[in-house]
Amino acid sequence: MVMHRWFLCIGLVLAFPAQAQPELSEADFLAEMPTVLTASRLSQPLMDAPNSITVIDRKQIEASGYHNLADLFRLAPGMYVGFKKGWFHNVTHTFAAEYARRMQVMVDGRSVYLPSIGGVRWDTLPLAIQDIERIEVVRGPNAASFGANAFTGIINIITRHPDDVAGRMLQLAAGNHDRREALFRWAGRSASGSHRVTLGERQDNGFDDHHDDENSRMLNYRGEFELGNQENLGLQFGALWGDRGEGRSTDVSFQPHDQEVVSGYFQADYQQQLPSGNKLQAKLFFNTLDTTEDVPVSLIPGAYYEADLLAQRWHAEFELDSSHGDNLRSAVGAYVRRDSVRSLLYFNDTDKLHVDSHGLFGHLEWRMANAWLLNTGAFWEDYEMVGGRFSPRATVHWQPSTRHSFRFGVSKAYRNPVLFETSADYRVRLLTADGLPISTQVPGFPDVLFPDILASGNVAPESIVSREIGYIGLWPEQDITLDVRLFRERIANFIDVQCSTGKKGCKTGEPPYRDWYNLEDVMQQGYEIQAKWNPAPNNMVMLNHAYLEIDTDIEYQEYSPPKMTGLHWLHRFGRDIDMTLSHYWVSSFTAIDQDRIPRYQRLDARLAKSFRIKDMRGQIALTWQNLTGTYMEFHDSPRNAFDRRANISFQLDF
Amino acid sequence: MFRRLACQFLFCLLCSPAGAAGVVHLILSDDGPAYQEVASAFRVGIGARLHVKVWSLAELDVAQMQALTRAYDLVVPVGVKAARFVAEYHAGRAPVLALMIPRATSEKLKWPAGLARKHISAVFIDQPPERSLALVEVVFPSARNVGLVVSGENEVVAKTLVKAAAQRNLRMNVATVGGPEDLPPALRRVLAESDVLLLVPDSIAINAGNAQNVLLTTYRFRIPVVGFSQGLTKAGAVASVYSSPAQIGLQGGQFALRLDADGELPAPGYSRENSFAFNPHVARSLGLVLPSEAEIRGKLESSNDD
Repeated sequence: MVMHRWFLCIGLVLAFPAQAQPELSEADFLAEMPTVLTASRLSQPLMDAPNSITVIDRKQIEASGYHNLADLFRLAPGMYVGFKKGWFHNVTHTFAAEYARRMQVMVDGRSVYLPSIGGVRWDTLPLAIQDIERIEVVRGPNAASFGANAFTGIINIITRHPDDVAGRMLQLAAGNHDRREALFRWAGRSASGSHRVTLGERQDNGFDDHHDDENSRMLNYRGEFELGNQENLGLQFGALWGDRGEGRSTDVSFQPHDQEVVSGYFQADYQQQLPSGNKLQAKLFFNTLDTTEDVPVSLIPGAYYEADLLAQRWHAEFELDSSHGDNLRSAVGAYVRRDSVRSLLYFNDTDKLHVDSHGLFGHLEWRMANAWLLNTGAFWEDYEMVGGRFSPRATVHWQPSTRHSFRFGVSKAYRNPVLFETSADYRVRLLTADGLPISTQVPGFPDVLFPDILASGNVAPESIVSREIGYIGLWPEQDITLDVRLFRERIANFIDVQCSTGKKGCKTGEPPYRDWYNLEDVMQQGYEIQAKWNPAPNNMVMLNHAYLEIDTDIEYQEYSPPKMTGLHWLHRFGRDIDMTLSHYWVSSFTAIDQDRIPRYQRLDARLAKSFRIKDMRGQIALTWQNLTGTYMEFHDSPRNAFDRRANISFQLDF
Repeated sequence: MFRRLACQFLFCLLCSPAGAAGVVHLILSDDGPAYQEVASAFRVGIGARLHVKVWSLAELDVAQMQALTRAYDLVVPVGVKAARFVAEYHAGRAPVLALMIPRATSEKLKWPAGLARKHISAVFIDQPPERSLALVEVVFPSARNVGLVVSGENEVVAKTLVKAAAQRNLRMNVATVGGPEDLPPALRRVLAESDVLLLVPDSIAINAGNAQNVLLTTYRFRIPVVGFSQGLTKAGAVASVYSSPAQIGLQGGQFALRLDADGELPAPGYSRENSFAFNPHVARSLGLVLPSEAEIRGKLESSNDD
């Protein structure tokens, strides 16, 4: 009855917004307010979370001045960010590789992991940095909550609610390497709900002397609808399309050309706050990425081959978050998913390949005593290519006071091989300039070349057993937060491509063909530290440091930088001038299948001036990246020389 | 003529509440538990000295109200509805002590011109601005910027808060809204520059209809809220300072005794006693570490002593 009255009241307010507000009365003090933030509705605080998590909030995102999404992850300890090409960015938490197959990446809970080759094509996400509210980087395996592929970490990008960005925003930016970017956003309310629409266009010439330019246009929409009865519906869709420069003039079989990119997504999120205070959620999404490219070869004039690749994912899930008294909370759920890929080049098939998976998960958080908390959970997942797997986890937290939390945890996670690792049949079909089989131009030349990689499908999932100790300390009077993670992990069945002879560099195109194999175990251990300190208002200092020790017989014995450090200083002068200085130190290493890069350091700086003109708010920002001098990004051959870069941006909210 | 005036004077003296073991008419706006709590506590506060007659507003008509206020017995409306009814039909004699009404509403009530100021008082349901600020300071020791969104009706409160904040080395980010449509942008602007949002009762800035949206917005901004009621804390504010109906009723009883003893009511004011409510779930979810309740109370009490 009370609830009923509330809805009537809310309804009346919505229906007659222009009416005079009633005078204040004691009812405003005594009334039960509609509960919006019950325990079950909330994610866990950092101290109670079973993993080390770095939260990159809106303030840090803005202060960084970064215009490439991938760059933002430099703000989390232990995350390596590399640019393989101007537009091809690699973000990894250990196991640096061209395709970051060992991390789960989500945007508003929607996995954008590519089922075809693995990893994430950051450049194809229809997502503007301006629309990001915060990013949560989970450091360490978390398959017990998010399933296979949450192997060494998770990135969850949370976008901004339309109500929080109501109005119009225009941003224009320009920088070195012919970088241009324009972004327009509108957000507002209608009778049915809140809406946000963003349109953007960007271009960039990439590295010097490389054919790796980029141009993209994108749009996205997010709508939030209150259905009444404590029900909410969120709808999102977006698309991005453009061209990417690909190929190298020195590579006879991969001459410079353009790759056409079209990506899109749709997502629906339903949430209901149940009368019991529990929360029911359901999610449905669809991702698609279609890349089209005709790759010229220089051996035969005019000859080329098609390297088209389509990757799609349908996913539906539900979750019930419950509170059982003050000390016990649970989350249970299930999902079904279908991944589809199509590529004649990669899979030697003109039809789509499908792979289905489904899973069940459960998580329990139990405060056993004031100072003791237990997090335990498991994910059972059946992936068509490899069968069922069970990923459990348990962590015990000892919190001797509200300011100190020690975490002891052990977890097991799997990484299911992607379709390229189970079903690859990589065969080049050379065509003439007119699109005819090459044998019509060069009689006797095979129309279909021997496979470069022929997957036997015998590869088992990789597994990781992680043991870790975590500590979070808070000193609120000084505004200091310290987060330390010590870990020791054993990775079994490490998957890599090689010849049956066990060598990496067997002669391409001749039997025995390359295949995917489970290799030796890998042991890795290390620590990560993150410290934040706000010594004074509008002043923040952040220090990140990560140390990694690897023990393995696989070829790449140092596949991630052993030491990475980041030091950041954010300061506001007066009321409207913001300055950021970020200094990074990264030690020498060799990413998987790449060549070694020397250690480097890099200094980034940003200076921004905010202003107001009547009701409009504006900002001019100057960003410098890499003031310390040229260094190598990701690999040394071809030379990815990252030079000093400057960028100017102008933003107006009106 | 003179005889009539002399009779009236004598009658007044006889009927004067000072020293008289008269009746106190407690008029409840509603029969709800909060009003009953005020009535019970009022009886406790007043002791056995005065007879208390409790009325429900619904059972009083205009004529009865005029009859009640024509006498010199203390009339104690509880809640805004009762206070407004008493003010509207006050016959000009009975002292009035309004309980559990917001200060802003109390100041708008019009009393008969002949009713002496010493015979009009109130115990407010809201809190003195300084008290709310003290709570902010104790619960969020590292907060420097305190957000506040109010409408014109709270102009004075906002000014008081700005002054009090400066003394505590805090800065208030104040946004004033003209109507409900101004609220979302004002709230976002304030939240972007604040470490904590302070809510004060305001018919436009925070009410039952918009509380859900206001709290959700603050949560999305990850800014903690200090509220002014148990309901707000339960709904999502991290902490609130408030006066319970019992605390207000008890103080009302003490005011009535003062009238009985001195012939005049203390000036309208805030309840001396107050309570705190905390929402540890929300605090933890925002990654905040609240000092223990005992620690908070201890610090607030010592700041009161200062």
